[in-house]
Amino acid sequence: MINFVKIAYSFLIKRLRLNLRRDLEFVFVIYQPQARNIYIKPDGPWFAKIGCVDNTSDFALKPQKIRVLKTRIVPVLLFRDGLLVKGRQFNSWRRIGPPIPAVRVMDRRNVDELVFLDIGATPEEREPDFELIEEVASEVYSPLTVGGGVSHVSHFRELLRVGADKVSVNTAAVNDPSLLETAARKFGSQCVTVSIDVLEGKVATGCGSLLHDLSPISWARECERLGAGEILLNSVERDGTLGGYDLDLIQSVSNAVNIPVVACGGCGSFEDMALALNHAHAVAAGALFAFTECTPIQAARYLASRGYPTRVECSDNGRERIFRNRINT
Amino acid sequence: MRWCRRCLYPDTKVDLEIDESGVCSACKNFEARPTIDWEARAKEFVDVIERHKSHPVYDAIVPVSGGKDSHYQVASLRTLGFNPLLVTATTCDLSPLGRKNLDNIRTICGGSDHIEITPDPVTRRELNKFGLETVGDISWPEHASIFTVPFRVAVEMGIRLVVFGECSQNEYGGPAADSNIIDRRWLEEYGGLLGLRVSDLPFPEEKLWQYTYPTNEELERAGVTGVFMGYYFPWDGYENAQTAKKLGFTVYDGWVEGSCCNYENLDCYLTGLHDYQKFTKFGFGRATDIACNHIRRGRWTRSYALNVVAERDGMFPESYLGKSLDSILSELELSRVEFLEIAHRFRNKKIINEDFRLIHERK
Repeated sequence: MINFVKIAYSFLIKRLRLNLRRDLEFVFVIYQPQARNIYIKPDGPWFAKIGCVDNTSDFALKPQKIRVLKTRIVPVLLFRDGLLVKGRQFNSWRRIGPPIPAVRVMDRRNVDELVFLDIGATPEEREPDFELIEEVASEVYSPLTVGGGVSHVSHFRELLRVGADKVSVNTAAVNDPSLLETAARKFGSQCVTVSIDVLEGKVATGCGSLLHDLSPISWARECERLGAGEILLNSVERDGTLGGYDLDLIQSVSNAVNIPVVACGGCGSFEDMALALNHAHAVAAGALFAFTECTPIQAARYLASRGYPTRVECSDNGRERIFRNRINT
Repeated sequence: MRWCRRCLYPDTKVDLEIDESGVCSACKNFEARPTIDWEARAKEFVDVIERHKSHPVYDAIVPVSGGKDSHYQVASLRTLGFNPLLVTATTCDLSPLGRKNLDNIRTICGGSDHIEITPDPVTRRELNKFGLETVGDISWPEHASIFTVPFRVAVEMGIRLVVFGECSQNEYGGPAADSNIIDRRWLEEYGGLLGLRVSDLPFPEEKLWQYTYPTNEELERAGVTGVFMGYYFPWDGYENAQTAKKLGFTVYDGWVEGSCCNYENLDCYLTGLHDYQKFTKFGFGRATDIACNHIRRGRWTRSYALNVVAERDGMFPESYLGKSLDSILSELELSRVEFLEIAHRFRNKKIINEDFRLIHERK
């Protein structure tokens, strides 16, 4: 459900170059018809400044910060050899359990988004497992980003057909960037996510096995130029350590592009998420949800209490409102 | 699917590693046993209990189910001269045999005080169904409560040590094999919770009190620690069963359905459903666990075990401990069709086919 701002009269909103998602929220603004020259300027990943340029108008609208988007808390599930796995620094993979129960739990939790990566596909030189993804997609109603082994436009088509909402591509995009352009043209930027793994300050592909002489900032810019809708940015060094995100990396890449950046790799606490959200658009976590008692809704509550716009809010009477993304049966 | 060439664990087992030579981490842990200074560890165990004594009467809490391991734990502590408080998180759907063994355990070696905490059975039934439908594990609440209930009692009574038995990470080959301490993080990471947490359960807080682990503040204030006895003594379920039998433990008349022994999992009728779902998710069941334990200790050869497991593992739970599936399901208000649908939902389609048989042959 998208709530539209009812800004009437002579003012037209230029639609900010954003992906239309369920987390889009505009704010009612009431103003006098005489006040012209109202502007809305993006301020950070999800705030905007709304104000009035013309100081001579009777109604002076002080510049105010309004919320435009809500952030997302995104659990990441990694799949390999028939089970979910979690590793450290893209190594020492431990099998942690079967995929379907974990996916069902995420669905129950009404997560903002779920990332499901078949990390065995590229090392095994095979294409995505469409049967598996179909099963996963049937178990979860939240937006689902699927990746792993995506190397051809037909993979995009098939994954979207079996139920993925967004398709993430990593190795194949570095090897052939035109794939991004073709996919964005055929299916739309909103379902093209580029997953960027960073090791020693450079882009790594093949599940962290091959280092390229390519900086994440220039690669991210290139991806945006080619039509990618979002970047999933992962730090190989921080992966699985629960020791905090690589904030410098997140800041530098987020500042370099206008498309949303999802921070990943190293999240160990809700405070880590808050720090990352000063630059990134959304936060992802793997080990945090797999190995500790932390759940996405607890993260949302914490972030809401710190002033970040999440899908969980405390209204004035102290009762929680959770933005539902499904019709409850 | 690969199998360990020494025992019968498949590589689909959570937290198990099979190395290049084909030997699994559970076997390797077992092989490392002779290198451990068990005498020193036994002394350490006594030392740990002495250091944690705080209650005027009870030296430690021993979580017991009334089973073979429980008997062994209680007997060990009593013969060492300690006075443990036995704590049971009573299972749902307790069998008469389970009841008999629970009544027995408090009489052994001079007798012990025993607290049985039965979480509200109405909520428990709902929780079981929730576990079954959400993660395909009807025993999920049970597995949570056997850890949380003893810690709750420890905090509330001011007893600073909880002595668990077998360390599953060691017995079954996980990365935390050398852990002697059990805490909340251990439970979340290794307790087989399948990604579900107590905060996910759609029940009011007061109904989930017994399933909720004490907070860090409560634990620190009370100074409570949990340890595994399996770290201090070379563990063997079969030997524990022999010890227990001499102390009045009663075994089942014949091999339990889905398993190949008569001395374990005798208390809860729902275990049959749990074990079956374990098979459909991972491709091995309880018979495999027992067989592997025997193989490692030289009691069975691998080829003998292979035959036993081929016959017993993943048996459809037409009955458990003699109670029929229909009777068990009717108490849960589930039809057979619904149960089968749930079993299919969680079946690992890569390794189990539509008839619930293994796709790859065991070798």
